[in-house]
Amino acid sequence: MAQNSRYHAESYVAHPVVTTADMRLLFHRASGETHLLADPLPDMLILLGEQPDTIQGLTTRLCARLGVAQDEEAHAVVGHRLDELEAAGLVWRD
Amino acid sequence: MAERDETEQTEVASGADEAGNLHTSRRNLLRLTALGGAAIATVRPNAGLAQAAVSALKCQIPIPDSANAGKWVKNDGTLVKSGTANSYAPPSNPLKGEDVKNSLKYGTTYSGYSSQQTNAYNNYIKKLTVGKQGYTCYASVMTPR
Repeated sequence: MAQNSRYHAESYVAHPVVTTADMRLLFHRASGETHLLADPLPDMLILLGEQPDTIQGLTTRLCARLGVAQDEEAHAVVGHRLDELEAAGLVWRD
Repeated sequence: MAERDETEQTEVASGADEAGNLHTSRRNLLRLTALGGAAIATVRPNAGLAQAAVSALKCQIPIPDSANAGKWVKNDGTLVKSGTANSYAPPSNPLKGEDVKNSLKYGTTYSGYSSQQTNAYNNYIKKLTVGKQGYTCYASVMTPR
């Protein structure tokens, strides 16, 4: 079930973002909360903002974006990071 | 893209093949070993804290708790059988968090009750322990802002 549900995110450009050396500070207008994001979360939000996707689909696109080979490990990490983003209210499932 | 450029700036190659290092570091983002810590930290606005403080003043402390309904309060705050000497009938309504705070802090008496009654009620409140009705309210009233 979780494997097939699609994750959504608001358009990334809708958020005011401050970039520091190794983090992004993202202000989420809807909640008034500020999130400190480590890589590769901003990339994941950018991709989901462009188009909702499943874990598998997002893993493929993220690996392509980062220029790394895709494998099971990447899939597991993306799933875990999506859980974090969902808990923060930055992504949601349909 | 700008986003990609930002990421690349954080990668400092130490003499070796820059592209190779960049690739390795990006690859590491998607390794299971990267899951050691949370990748996200959330800062909540102060409005939330102010709201919590307001609700603390609006909470109520029932005296006595419903399990001891009908009991009276002795000077020292212990609950005793109704009519016991040196004890007082409980307040007819739960005490408001704001009134409790003022009474404990400034010694004001509860409206409609004597200073002895106020004293007994406050001694009862001070004896509240975790899990007792009113404890959460007492704790939040006593938490400095």
